[in-house]
Amino acid sequence: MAIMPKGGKELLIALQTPSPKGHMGIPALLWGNPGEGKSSFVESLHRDGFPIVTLIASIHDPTDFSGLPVHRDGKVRFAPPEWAFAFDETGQGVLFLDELTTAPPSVQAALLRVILERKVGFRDLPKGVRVVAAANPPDIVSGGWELSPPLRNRFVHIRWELSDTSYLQALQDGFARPELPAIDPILHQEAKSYWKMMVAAFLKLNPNLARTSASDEEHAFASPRTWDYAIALMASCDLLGEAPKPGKQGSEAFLNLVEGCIGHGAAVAFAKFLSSLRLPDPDEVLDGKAQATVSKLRDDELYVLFSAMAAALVRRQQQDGFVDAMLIFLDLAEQVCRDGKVDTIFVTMRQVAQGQLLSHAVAEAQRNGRLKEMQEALKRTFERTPLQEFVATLA
Amino acid sequence: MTHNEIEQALRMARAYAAEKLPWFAPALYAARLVITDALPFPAGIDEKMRVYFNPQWVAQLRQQTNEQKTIAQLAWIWVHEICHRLREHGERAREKQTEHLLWNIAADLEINDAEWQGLERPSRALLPQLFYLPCGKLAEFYYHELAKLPNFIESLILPVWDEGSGVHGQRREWELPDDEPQAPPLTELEQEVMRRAVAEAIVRHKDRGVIPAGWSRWAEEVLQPKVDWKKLLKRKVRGAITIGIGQRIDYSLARPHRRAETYEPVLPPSLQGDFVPRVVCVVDTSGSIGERELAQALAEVRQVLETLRTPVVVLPCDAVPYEPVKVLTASQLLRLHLRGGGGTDMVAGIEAALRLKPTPDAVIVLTDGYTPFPNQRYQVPVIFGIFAPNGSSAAPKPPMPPWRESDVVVIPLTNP
Repeated sequence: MAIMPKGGKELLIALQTPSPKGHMGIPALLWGNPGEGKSSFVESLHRDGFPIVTLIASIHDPTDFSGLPVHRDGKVRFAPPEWAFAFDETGQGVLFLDELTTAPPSVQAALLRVILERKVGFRDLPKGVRVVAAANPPDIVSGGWELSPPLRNRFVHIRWELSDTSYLQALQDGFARPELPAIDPILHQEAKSYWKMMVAAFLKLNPNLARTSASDEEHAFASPRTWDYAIALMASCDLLGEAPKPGKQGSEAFLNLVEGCIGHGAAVAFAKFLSSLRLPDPDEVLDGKAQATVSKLRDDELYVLFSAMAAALVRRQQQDGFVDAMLIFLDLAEQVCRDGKVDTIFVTMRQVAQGQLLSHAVAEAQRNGRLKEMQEALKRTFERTPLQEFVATLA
Repeated sequence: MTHNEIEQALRMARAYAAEKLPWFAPALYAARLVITDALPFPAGIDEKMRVYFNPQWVAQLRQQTNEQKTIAQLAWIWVHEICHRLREHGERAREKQTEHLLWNIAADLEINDAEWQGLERPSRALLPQLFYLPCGKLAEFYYHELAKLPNFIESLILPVWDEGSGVHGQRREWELPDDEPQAPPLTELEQEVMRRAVAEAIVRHKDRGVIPAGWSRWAEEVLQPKVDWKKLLKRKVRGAITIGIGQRIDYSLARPHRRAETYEPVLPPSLQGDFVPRVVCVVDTSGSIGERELAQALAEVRQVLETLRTPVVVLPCDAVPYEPVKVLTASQLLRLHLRGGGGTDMVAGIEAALRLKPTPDAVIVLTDGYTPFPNQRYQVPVIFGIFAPNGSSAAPKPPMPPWRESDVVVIPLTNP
């Protein structure tokens, strides 16, 4: 299997994501200790027609990024440096700004324009040029500067790590030569509308997370810009099969990218929101309006769904349709037990059995002339599945 | 026992644990169960929240005792393993760069002393008393204490369990690859969500007297993470000196730009001025403050300012301010003898600091809070660093208003 340092996959996705502003790539900032192969990974993306231009930010002067003033015909022009022409032929490639944290604040300020407006002097970078930067945490390098909040807000922050085991394996097998994934821009645009909806729904519930404080977060923090970045990246993950969808779990890269855009605080809340979406609404399930495919749910999700359904049943005891709801509930419980996951719903089932719910269900069923149906369902769930054994042993 | 019987027993144990300790249910069910012969010890956990059990050991346990006891013991192991993840032992080990076996023991000591009603602690589980250590401490403490003992690991009679990366952060051969579809990994963010779910459940159950004090504290910390005072202080000082430096530098033609030649015949100005940040630390040296306490606080403040590349002027003050000392390196600070020992008046110290030439960009006041506070704000930002020995936050703070909560940084001192 190909060895990829932690953060490699995230970087490749960010490079190929069409940005909200219409060019290629979400600007990515790699955070990692020295010597973990950040630069060599980026440089190994070099192909014919896909140049990589590396600049060590710390040894440059602000004018190298804002353009050198030149006097001609009575006007001062800001002449772009030579590297700004490196992409002219190909129209694409990677501009790699290494050692960002050792660049003094004045250089960082000049870089803002390159990164966000993609201008060197008054010259535009071609649309296919991606911007990647690398930095060491300021507390581990001597002479490090902290990045200013405006600069931090212009990147998706990616944690870079080469674990000992993957390094050992790479010594034997070599590193994988990274390949950029293919993302169709039209499909991406379509996928984006779904994730926009998700973010809108989330922010409606948590309006305070549209913006988070830059000083509460180490790297990324939430702002409308970084939410836009997150939406674009989530759409890419979606196309690459990395995103969580109903009945499917998202990959680690997906969550890392979200966290890299909007920061830890907002990302934890958003991850919780996304995982709650995987669960159907308990009331709708009991009404028969929504299908719960219990075989696809994870153990912790089963636990949450069943305790929510049991609580809903208690609430509905006096309502119409209680017998039907109970039958749906028992049917689902039976399926879970047959899947060998009795333990996930055991606590709930035991509470159901100990409370008034079952006797009430039998009485209700008798009143509606459905006693036999109910007894049959109870027997199927409680006596013909491993649930019986659980109750007997753990009593 | 067949594989199915073993799985059933383990699932039963999990259900039992979730019934007895319902606040752990979100973590118990978030864990992926893996049964594998490859594991050389009874149980383990990886950083992706997969709990491993050795089937032979489960079968053996069942043979030695009755079904009830087996379940109660397996339930204890379940809880033990997930506690390693709840308390982030793997991450903490990596941060501390620990020796893995010793850390494994220290981490076990941190979680084993909790008494869980209905669960049975295996007789070989390690407890702090065994090493004459106090209960209720953190793994870092136990690690530090155990590391002092010569040949500690070798002297143990029983083999030490190596419970995997979930405990010490180092990947073991028996752990599944990250992309295993049968037991998909739980990402860091998902584990954070899980941790909060457990912490919220613990807070809900707190009043029933079933939660050990250590776990209540843990839950509070998870739900209201403490602000790292070092980062807070750094941010405040950085803000102050940026403004300060900004006021004294400007573009000027007094000296040519260092690339003036290139721009010929344009003559660009260069940025001129004093770029050196000026931070004064007014230090409370009154009788109420211990010398060690002071040295520790100063050393930590110095560490904070290191990344800002700031020389610090230390101004000792009890009831009266003394001669300021310029400190450039951390080691200089340790050799510093500060005058004082009398009553306390930090106002005198602050005003002395503001009279210094050149005027400082920021004044940091380090005190235990038992002092008169100025009842007006100054032009220069003043930050109060208030010591809180052993994490207490009872120390007096400056009057608000005119001061604000954001002017105060509480500096927790451990073992003064």
